[in-house]
This record gives sequence, C-alpha cells and structure tokens, in this order.
Amino acid sequence: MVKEDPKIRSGHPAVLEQREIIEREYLAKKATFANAMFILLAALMFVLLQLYDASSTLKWTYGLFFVFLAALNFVMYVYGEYRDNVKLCVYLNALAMYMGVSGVMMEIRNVSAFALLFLTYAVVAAYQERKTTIINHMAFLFIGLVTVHRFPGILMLAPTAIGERVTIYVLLTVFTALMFAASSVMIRKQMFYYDQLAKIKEMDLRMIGTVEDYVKQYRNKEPDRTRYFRVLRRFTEALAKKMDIENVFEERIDIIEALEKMPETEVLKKYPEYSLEEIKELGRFSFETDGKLRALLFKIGQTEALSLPKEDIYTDTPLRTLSFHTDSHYAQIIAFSVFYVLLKKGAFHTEPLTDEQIADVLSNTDFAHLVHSRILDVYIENKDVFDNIFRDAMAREGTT
Amino acid sequence: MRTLWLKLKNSAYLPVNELLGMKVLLVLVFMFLFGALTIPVSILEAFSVTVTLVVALGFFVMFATSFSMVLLKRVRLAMHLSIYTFIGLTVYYVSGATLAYGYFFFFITLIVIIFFQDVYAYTVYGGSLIVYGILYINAQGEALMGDFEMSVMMSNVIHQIILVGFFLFFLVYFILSDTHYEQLATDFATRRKAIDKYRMLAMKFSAELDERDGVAAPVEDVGFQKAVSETALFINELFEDEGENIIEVVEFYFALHQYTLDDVLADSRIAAITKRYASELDKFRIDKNTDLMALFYEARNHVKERHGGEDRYVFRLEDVFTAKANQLMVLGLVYVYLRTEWMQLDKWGRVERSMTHEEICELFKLNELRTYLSYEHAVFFLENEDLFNQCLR
Repeated sequence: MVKEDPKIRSGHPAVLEQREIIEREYLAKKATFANAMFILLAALMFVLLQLYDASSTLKWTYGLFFVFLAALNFVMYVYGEYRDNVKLCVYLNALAMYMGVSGVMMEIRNVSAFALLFLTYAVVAAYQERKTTIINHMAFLFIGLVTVHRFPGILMLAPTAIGERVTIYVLLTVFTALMFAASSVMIRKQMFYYDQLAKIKEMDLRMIGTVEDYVKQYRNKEPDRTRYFRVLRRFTEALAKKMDIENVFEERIDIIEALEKMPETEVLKKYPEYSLEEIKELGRFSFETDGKLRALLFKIGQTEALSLPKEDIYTDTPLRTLSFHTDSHYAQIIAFSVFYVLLKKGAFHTEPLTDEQIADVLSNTDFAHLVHSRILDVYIENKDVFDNIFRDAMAREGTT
Repeated sequence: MRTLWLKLKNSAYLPVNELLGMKVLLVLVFMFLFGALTIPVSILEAFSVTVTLVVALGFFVMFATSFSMVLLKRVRLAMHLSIYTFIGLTVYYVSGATLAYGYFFFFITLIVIIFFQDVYAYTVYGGSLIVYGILYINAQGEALMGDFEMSVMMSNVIHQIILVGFFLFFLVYFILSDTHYEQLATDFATRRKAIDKYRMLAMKFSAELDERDGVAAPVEDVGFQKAVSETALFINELFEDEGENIIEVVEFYFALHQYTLDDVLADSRIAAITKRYASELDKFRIDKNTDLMALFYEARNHVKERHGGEDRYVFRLEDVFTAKANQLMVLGLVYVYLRTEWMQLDKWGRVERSMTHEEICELFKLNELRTYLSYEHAVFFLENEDLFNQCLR
C-alpha cells in the first residue's frame, strides 16, 4: 500500500513505485530485442569455436551454459514474474555474454575473437539500463586492456611494439569514456521520460480532484448515489431476465449498500458465502470523492477522439516552462510574477499558498528547472520582500 | 570543462540543438586527446615523418574548424566535420602496412558516429565506412589471420561478418530506439492532452463561479495587476538592467488579454518590438488554457493531497473489478453518470449538459475508450443499448 505524501516529486512513494513499473515495462520490451541479439551472438561464438577447432569439452560447456541461461530467461517469462525480475535477468545476461566472449578470446586468440568483444559491447548496450551500462563499460574496458597487456599476440602485436600498444590503450580508454557519456545521455533522457510519465499519472489524478472540487463548489451537491443504485437495481433485474440467468446482482448491490453503513468484517459475517477479497472489490463501488469509481466515471465521460499527429508528439516537449531560452528577460520576469501572485492570492477559487509552500514547490520539484535560475535565486533570497510587496499591493486596492 | 560536465548532468532538460552541441564538444575533447597522443606515436611505427606531419597538420585544421563551428552555433556542421576527421584518421591508420589494429579503427569510428545518435549520419557515413572496411579486409585479410590453419577467404568472411553485424546491429538498435522514444512520447502526449481537457473544465467552472459570485477575474482585478507589476519591478531591479520599461510591458501584458495574438500581429500600426512581446507573452495569458495556467494548476496540485488507494493508477475496468457481474454493474453506473451528470459543454461553451443516448453510443465506439473498457464491454453495451436506455435514465 502506497503511503500518501502531499508532494508530487521524484521521491513521492507512489511516483517512485510507478516509475519503477514503467521502467520495467519498457526494459522488458528492449530486452526482447537484446535477447534475440544475444542468441545470435552465442551462435556466432559457437561457430567460431567450431571453425577454430576448439575442444569438444569447451563446446559442450558453452552449449550447456547458454541453454541454462535461455531456460532461466524463459522460466521468468512463462511464470509471469519476468517483469519483476527483468533487471536481474539483464544483469545475468550481460555478465554471461562477457564471460562467454572472454572464454572464446582465450581459446582462439585471434583478431576476430577480439572483434567479438565490440559486438558483445553492442548487444549489452541494447538493454539501455543504468547498472547494465556500468557493467558493460567496465567489463569492455577491463577485458580489452587485460587482453592487450597480457596477450598482445591476439592482436598480432610484437612484444616490442610499444607504440601500437599505447595507441590501443588510448583508443580503448578514450572511446569507452566517450560511449559511457553517450549512454549516460540516452539513459538520463529515458529516465527523465519514465519520471515524467510517472508524475503525469499523479497529476492526472490530482487534476480530476481539482475539477471535482470545482463541481462541488459550483453545484453545491454530490452525485445522488441512492438514485444511482435504485436505477441500477431496475437495470440488473431486467438484464438478468433478458439473459435468462439468476439475478446475481441483487445481493451484490445489497452488500455495496451495507458497506456504506458497516465495516467489511461485519458485512463478511452477514454474507459468509462471499470471500473478503470479493467484499473488498464491492467496496470499490463507494461513491466517495477521491474514490476509484468516481475517477473512472469522470475519465470515461471526458474521453474523446484523439488525433495526435507525429509532429505534435515531438514538439509537445515534456516540460512547459516559465523560462523559454528565446524569450526576453522581461517576458520571463513577468511570467514568474504572474505565476507567483496567482499562487499567493489563491486565484481561480483555490486556496492561497504560503511563501514556504511556494518556495518548496519551486526548489524541490521540476519547477526548479522551469524558472530562470537568477529569478529563482532572487525569490528564494527575498521571500519576505515578495510577501510584503504582495500584501501592500492588495491592501492598497482593498482586495485581500 | 565544468560547463560541459553540468550540461552532461542536466542533459535530459537540454533542447535538441544544445544536446548535439554538447556531444560535438565532447567528441572534440576526446578527438584532441586521442590525436595528440596517437599521431606522434604513429611516427615510430610505419609512417614517414612527412606523412605524419601532413596528417598532424590536417588533423589540427579539422579540429580547429570543427571547434569554430561549435562556437558559431553551427553544431550540425561541426558534427559532420568531426566525423570526417575520424574517417580520415581511420584511413590513415588502416593504410599503415603492418597495423593490424587498423581493423579496430572501423569499430571506433562507427562508435563515434553512433555517439551522435543520428540515424541518417550513421547510415551514410557508417555505410560508406563499412564498404571501405570490406575492401580493406579483402586486401589485408592475410595480415589479420594469425597462425591458424584456415583459408584466407574463410578468415575474411568472419571478419567481415563481425564488422557488418556490428553496423547492422546498431542500425536496428537506432530504429528500435526511435520507436521506443515515440512510444514514450505518445504515451506522455496522450496523458497531457487529457489533463489539458480537465484543466479546461476547471477553468470553465472557475469562470462560472466568478460570474455567480460577482468576483472579478484576476486579469480584471486591480490589486492583482498592481501586485504583478510591483513584483516584476522588484525582480528587474535586482537584475540591474534599465528597469523602467518593464512597467510598460506589464501593462501591455494585461492589455493583451483583450485581443487575440493574430489581431496584434496583423496590425500594421503596432511596432515590431511590441509584436515580439505579444508573441512571447501570449503563452502566459491567464484567460485561456495556456502554458502558464498549466503550470499554475500543476504547482497548486503539488500541495494537494489525494487518496488513490491501492493500484492508484489502474483504471482499466477489468483490472479494477475482476468479477464479471461487477463489471456489468459498473457499465450500468457509467451509463447513469453519462446520462445524468452535467459534465459536457453546451452550445454556449458552459459545462451544463449531460450526454444523449446517441452520444453515449458513439463514445462506446471510440478506440480511445479501450484504455478503460475492453472491446467485449463495448460490444456488450452496444448489443444491449436499448435496455440501458430504458432502465437507466
């Protein structure tokens, strides 16, 4: 059960949990492709061992090793637990690939075996996962450097060819660093999207709450739940008759109504033929504000045909900002001032925020990136002055 | 270097062009290190002093030109120049008669091209490099063979397969990466569109409340205008720029709410600088569903609790209610909600209308509804729509 926290930020338990779920979902998709490449790589290793007349014991060991690994991945898929274990699978696969390629290099000691190291790097990189990226670059660099140092013959280097060796050390180190930087940029971008997706789900939920608050303020009434269930009884009775089945709905509606008046345990005693899980599920029919059913009804009611042209998807950048880098600083200052006064005043029939709340939102959430850093510094260092300016202006006009 | 490191750290927030500029700069730093360390060393191996000097000079010219292009914000051109430099270095090292490791230079240069994550650059330059690599292996295959007893042809094929495999693998990887980003971006854009619609409803209700309670909207509230104006003046003073004009721009910002941006831009009497401010400030209007309004509600909702319970973000009917009977009852409640609650816009743009039976039938045919209801649920409704209409009004 997720604990409530009033802020939507990266550390919010619900957002964190959701980000982890989204990351695993997407990782599972990427892993499908990378695993397929892994199979091709394993086949290539096997072909090389065959062509270079490796011992049959080694070939058998390789065969069993890859079959075991494939079985492990398969079991995790079949039992539906794969997504929870997808990261573990990916780490195992990455390590197994490097173990495999190291073995081939030691056995064959040829340029083509060394080239296989690059291919292994490419396959592991396809997982695009944070820790796997670290494993990938460390393993690639370590195996590469050790091979050149201890077994220069693999690259047909003479023991005295210091210049060539230095060049290869530099090449490997510089380009591992370069690719690590490239992977970090890509992974940061992905993590940013996962984070934004997790946050937007929470924002979606809270925006529904905001609309519900407006409806309550404007209409001064809640949906008439008694009427809802009265007509539902009429409908389900007719439905059962039409489908020529026993009316299984009647008792369920009784339980929903009973749940409004007594706790689940009491209802369970009264209806012993139902399990606690069934009673809990019927509890979701509650009409309370913030409830699952209310949000679902709202979402369905606001669904509309959506056309999202490709250019809209990409131009619709994840972050809206008060600080477009092409805007003049006047525009950026005015945007921030309007934003601040709206929050401070509690505009549009919302509750006013205190300066502590505003500063907290601006400093500890994505807003820190959405406001010009100098404007943000000015505000954080002069909160009291901002407060005084606001109060004076409002008092003079008599609108506070 | 510090700026480069900070940019790398905050790369997720950088616009595409700035991100590319950062990558080019990073490649140039590595290229400089690499060239400075390896070109002098290569003189010890297979090349004459003249050749090495020409290469060193060429390298320096290309490096300086690429760097200048970054400074001049021509980052795409700088990217191409840095790729040419690496391709040049590949040809140089590969030409060394005894340099078997020249083979690896193909991988290294491909990695540099991959770093830019530009599928077209990768296809054109990477593809050309691969063709050159295949020819190189055919010519130098024997030098790559080592001591094993195998035909040169077989050895060449293995080296070529690995090189081409590496290239093709990353090509597919690029395509899949693009698809992956597209999925993420689509999911994000879809959810944002939904929130935009919810915010539009919120703003409609707020306007109705203003009208009902006789409250002035913020844009017409003199106290609000004064507070904005004085806050902006204060910030601007601390920016230590010429400050007086900002008051005029604030006044213009509030006046802008009476016009559309198109009207302002089309008016030939308005000065160019004013039109520029109008374009910049239009997205911060507070009488429309703008970026600023989105950020206002977002900030407000940061400090607003909401109890979501377990499976907080799960809204698919069959995931929320597992029993078939419960799912059918929810369908009934959905119908009652849509027919009776006034949550739709009427012809005057007010949220004062519920859906008609025909509209609900159309809604159930929408693909977008599959996010919440399965195809079977929609079919069940459409097959029994008369019953819903008769009993649930």
